[in-house]
Amino acid sequence: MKRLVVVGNPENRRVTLLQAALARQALAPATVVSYEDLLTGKHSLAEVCAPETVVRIESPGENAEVERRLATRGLAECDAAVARSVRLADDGLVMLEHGEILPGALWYAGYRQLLAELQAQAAITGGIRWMSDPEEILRMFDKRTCNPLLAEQGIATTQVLGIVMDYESLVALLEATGGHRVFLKPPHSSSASGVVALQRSPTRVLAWSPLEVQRSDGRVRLFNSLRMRQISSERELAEIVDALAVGGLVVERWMPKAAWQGRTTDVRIVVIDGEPRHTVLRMSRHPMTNLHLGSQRGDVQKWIAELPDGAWQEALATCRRVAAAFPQALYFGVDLAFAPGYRRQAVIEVNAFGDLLPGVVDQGHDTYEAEIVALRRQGFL
Amino acid sequence: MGFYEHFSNFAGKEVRDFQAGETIDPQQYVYRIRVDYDSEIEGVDLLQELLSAPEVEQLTGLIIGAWASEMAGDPPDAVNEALVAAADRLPQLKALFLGEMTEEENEVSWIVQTDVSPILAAFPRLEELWIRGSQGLSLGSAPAHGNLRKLVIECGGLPRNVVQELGRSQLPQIEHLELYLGTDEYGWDGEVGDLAPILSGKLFPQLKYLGLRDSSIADDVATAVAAAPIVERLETLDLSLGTLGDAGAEALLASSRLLKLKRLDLHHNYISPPLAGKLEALPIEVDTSERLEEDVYGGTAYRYCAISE
Repeated sequence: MKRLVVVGNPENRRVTLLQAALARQALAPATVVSYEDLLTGKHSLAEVCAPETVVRIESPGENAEVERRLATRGLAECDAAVARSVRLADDGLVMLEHGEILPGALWYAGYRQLLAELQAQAAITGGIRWMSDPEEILRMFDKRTCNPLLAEQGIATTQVLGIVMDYESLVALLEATGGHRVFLKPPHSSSASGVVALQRSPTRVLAWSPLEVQRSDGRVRLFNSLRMRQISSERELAEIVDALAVGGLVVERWMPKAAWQGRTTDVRIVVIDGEPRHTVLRMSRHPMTNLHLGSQRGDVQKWIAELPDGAWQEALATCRRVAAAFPQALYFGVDLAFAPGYRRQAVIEVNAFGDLLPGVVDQGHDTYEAEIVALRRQGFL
Repeated sequence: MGFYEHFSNFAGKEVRDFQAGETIDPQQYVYRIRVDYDSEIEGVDLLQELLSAPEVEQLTGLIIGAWASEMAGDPPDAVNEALVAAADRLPQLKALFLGEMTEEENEVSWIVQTDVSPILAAFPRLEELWIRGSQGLSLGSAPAHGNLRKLVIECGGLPRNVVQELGRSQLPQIEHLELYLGTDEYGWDGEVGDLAPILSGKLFPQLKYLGLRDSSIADDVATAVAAAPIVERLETLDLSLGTLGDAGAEALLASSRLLKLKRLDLHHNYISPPLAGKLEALPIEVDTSERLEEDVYGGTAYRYCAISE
């Protein structure tokens, strides 16, 4: 039967927005299977799937219990340094305080396991259709697999200088490569969580990151913050990088972004069924443009109209090439930036769950409805 | 806040980033030397190529932007030396900007400058000089130039030596003097008294615009300026982007000299609404926009300059 099942956190607005879009399309609500139930074994995907069921994997984010369970599953697969960096609570799950940044490797390993289980459960039923294939989701989330796939399609990405395990190896890498301005990013994350923008000379450091540091029982713990903070003490920076780099930290060259109306800008473009659609212009006064960090949304149409000839067409062509790199994903977000002068552009991130752009409408539909329309066009709903 | 956007126009013309291999059109454009972040070429090589174009003799304006692919304390010596050596190839050059970089290319307080007096000497017909960044900056011990009409120094903190050098300068044609004084965190190590020669009115007989902007001691600066003879000659007094509060506002309100101004720019300030209202009511154009509140941490109130936030 042609119907939709969504794997997600039921309380999350992503699920609410999807159900609202289905209602607008006069379709039955999707059956929601919660991550928590799947992780505890209370439910299986096989219970709710039949041949021709379409399954949508939604973001597991913004739910602490789900994050703890994913991280706990990841423990067995991760190396000792990662395991040592976390504590277990009385319930046997990884301890997680509100906003705390756990090693991304832990989450990713747990999530990979869970998605493999979902694939196995779906296989029992057979004949189901993924909106975005779990394998594609995993490939997008890991910068180490995502960037080479993009490069194969001739897509410019921000250049990766290497992966470091602590501050000392970061310094060595910067000195070996002549890097002075870099972004440090957890290998598998989205949003700006655990991301550091760093400017370094032999005598000075200056870093920006939306995080807070807490020190307790000899441990340095990091927490997400909605405020960007500057770090100018090398000792503090080293402490933060040492904590962040457990499990590896990707070092990318910092591509200066073009500014518009006095703010640093980049765009989030949601690609649906191979076509670039909903676009948000993000404008910031610090090195990170993520909207939850106080960036503003700009007037996309006005911005596009002021771009040099051909620049926007090239960005759209880039998005189509990204779609070619991930043919089994119906939708995803592409973060793309232009360098000053607009002659160069680079894909900064491909986000499997990058379609949460409430209120942004293209051709009369929000992202969720546009995705459903695409499914209907393909005859899957 | 900082400098986010590159100039799209400079000295009356549209700005173009100079590209290796392109034919230049100085009638139409002012050119910028700027190296992309992943470029192999150095700014000085790009500049040399520009300077070797026959049309460069018609060039009226030039911007030096990021001169290395990743700026981090690289001094501009090679670029400045190339400019000086090629001065006779640039007979029409009227406007020059040294160090036009955005926050995304280099933090303003990290921009390294040098002694620009060789440039002043090599370009006697220069009318406009803009400098961004102040580390290592000097104008020469007693800068002298017979044609310079506009001097702008944008930075996070202006070193005292530059203020003192200006106090010994002979720049009789200056109409527009714009200084970002900044904070001690980023290089400001002067005091308000250092401004006295500038404020005396003797140095710059043609001055119409005086900008003492982005100052962490804006109240002291405003108090000194309010009593300074030079104000009577100005059309615009610009004390914007700094920490100006009620003390400075009261000094400005008490000065009758101010009424000869056309424009008083105080935007980005900590002035209370009643005093801002009084300033706005003056019979001259007054901008008191971007009124900020002090941040209070642990009983101490903090004010921030625009460039240091």
